[in-house]
Amino acid sequence: MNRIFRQKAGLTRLRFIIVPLAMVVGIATIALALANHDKKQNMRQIYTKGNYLVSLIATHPISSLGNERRDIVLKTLAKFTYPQGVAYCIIHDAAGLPMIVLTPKDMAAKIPPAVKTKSLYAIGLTQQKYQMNGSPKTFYEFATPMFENGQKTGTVRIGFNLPQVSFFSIERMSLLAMICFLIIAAVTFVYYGITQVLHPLTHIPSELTTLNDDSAASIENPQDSYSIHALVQRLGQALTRLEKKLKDTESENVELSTRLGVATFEKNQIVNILDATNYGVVITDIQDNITHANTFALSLMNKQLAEVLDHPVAEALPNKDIAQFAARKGSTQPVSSPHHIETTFDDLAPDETFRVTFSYLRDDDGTPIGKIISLKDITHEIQGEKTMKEFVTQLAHELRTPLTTITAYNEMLMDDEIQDPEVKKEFYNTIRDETSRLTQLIHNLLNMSKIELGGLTFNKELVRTDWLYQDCINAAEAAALKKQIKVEKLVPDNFPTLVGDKEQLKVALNNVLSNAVKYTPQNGSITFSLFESDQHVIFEISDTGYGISKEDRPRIFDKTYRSSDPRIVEQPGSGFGLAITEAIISAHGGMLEVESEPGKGTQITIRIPQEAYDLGSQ
Amino acid sequence: MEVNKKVLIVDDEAPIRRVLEFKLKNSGYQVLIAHNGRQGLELIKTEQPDAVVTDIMMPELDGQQLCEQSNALKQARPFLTIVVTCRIAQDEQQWINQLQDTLFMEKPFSPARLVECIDQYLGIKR
Repeated sequence: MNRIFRQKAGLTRLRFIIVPLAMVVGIATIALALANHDKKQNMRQIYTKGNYLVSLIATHPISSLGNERRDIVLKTLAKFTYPQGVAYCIIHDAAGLPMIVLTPKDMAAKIPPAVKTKSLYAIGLTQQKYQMNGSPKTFYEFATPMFENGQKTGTVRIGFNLPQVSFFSIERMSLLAMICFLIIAAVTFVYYGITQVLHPLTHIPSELTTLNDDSAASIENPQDSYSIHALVQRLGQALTRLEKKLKDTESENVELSTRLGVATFEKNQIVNILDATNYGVVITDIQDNITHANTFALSLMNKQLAEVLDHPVAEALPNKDIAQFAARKGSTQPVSSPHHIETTFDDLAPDETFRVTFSYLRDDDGTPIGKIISLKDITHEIQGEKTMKEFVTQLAHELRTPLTTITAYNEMLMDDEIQDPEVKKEFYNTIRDETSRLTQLIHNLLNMSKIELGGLTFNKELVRTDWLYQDCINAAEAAALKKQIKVEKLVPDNFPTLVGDKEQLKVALNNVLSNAVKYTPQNGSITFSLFESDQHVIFEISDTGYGISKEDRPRIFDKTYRSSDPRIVEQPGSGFGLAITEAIISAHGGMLEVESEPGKGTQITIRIPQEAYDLGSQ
Repeated sequence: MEVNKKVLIVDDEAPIRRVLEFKLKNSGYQVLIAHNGRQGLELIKTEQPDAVVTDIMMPELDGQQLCEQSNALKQARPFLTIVVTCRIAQDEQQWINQLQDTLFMEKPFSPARLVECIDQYLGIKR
């Protein structure tokens, strides 16, 4: 490091010698150039004057002039006779002898003899340069012949002093001083300007040292930081660092692009998953402005995503319950656990119910940054719960009612409160009927349970339909008789046979016939037909009962459903008789068709294949 | 033992009506019969029974509606209402508890126990 400092100090001293020396040499060169220029200028003037004067005198030969004019010319010539002007004027005659000599007193003697005597005309010279004897001065002589009337009358010679050019003249010194001043001023101005322009670059290293680059520390002297060399050095270092940084940034860009691509893919996947869900999801920021909504939620709002983005959730989802709950939850509820409400929307059906769940989105610190509002359509759940509740209630009623009757009647008989034998018999019959009703109900329940669990068994046998028909019609006729309902039977002469389970088919047909009797008012009629068609045995049970309403029609095979029609409700029944019938007929490969008109009656047609259906090994 | 009190039976199940009628008559009560809630409400207004035994699941007007509509009449003339039901839901007990002089009896019930309740309410000692 010390060696570097010494080298730098030596360079600084050398610079202080070289720069002034260069300036002196420069100024001297300029001065010499100026002097040379002045000399040339003087030479040009001498040549112009000399040629002019000799021509003037030759054109107007003094010898031919009168004395008066001759004096004028001589005086004119004399005016030029200054130390730096005309040195002498000699006019020779035709023979070469000096005729007129105008010269300072000692001048003629100093003219070299060769010049004095030599006829310039004779040697053809018009001008010559020579030095006076004993004088360093240089003379320029101009000569030309004179003619009068076509005859040469003589030669005119005029000598000129070469003006002395003073190297250190006041004018030149002033001019040089001015030039030096201008040069120094210009250099200073340019240097200062460049320094000012480059001054911002002095900050580059200090800013880039934060980038952990040690090279910036090589500039120790603050003053050095203002030199152009130092600036350029810094600029170079800065550019190197920038280049390195640029490469690093490019690498980071590639990595970030990759991460962005992955993040975008994952985001799209999440959006796709959200859109594929069968419940609405609305995501808001902490001010309850929507940042995303999935397809389900948008269809619920009946809007496009762009229409709801950055809009308050209360504006996009016009629902008072949600607005009130969100406001209440935001102010008083803890933000930890999700909460939900159940609500309906004005634009949708009144029974279409949604469970709205609120939960908070959090950052890594656990600070809430938004909310997730999910909307799930729970209409079917509620309907299912309601139906199941009604089913359980109905089932409990159907089980407990005969049980109550049996218990009460039994208690009365046990307490010996019935004395009349006829009443006793009536009570025993009632207990028997209610027990039978309870048994039938439990049998249906077990069958239903078996159907659901897949454990309903069938005994495959050849079934004589005349026997099956007779068994069924006997039970129906007994029940119909109590309600004074007329039973009409339509049967073929030759009953067909079929392959199936007679007992299960009897259950299936009895359920239909029992319904026909139960839901046909007094004095009505029932028709039970049996015939063969296209290798199928067809059972038709029609009645003149209450019929099935349009609302009840789609659900008559639902085990948990029973009509709310008061005329139906007042009749005992579990509601799953037809469900069992349909399951049995389906197991036989048959079909069950229902035609009904409310207030007029119902016709149920059961088609069972005679042979084809295989009940399997059961 | 003849009791000069009227008991109204409201039930759509004929066997239940029959056994209750028999038991109450044997206990000396005058018995009124209604097949559904609407008939029962009419008889409460016209016959002013001292006790009402009613089922819940009935056509036209069910037992809950009958109890709620007849409850206003109890301020002028209190009478006992026994609700016999097979329902087990909690909300059912809640509305029964809110009504005046109304008891809850779950099916299957004992006719003797039912008569005891009515006797106790009406202050009849045997």
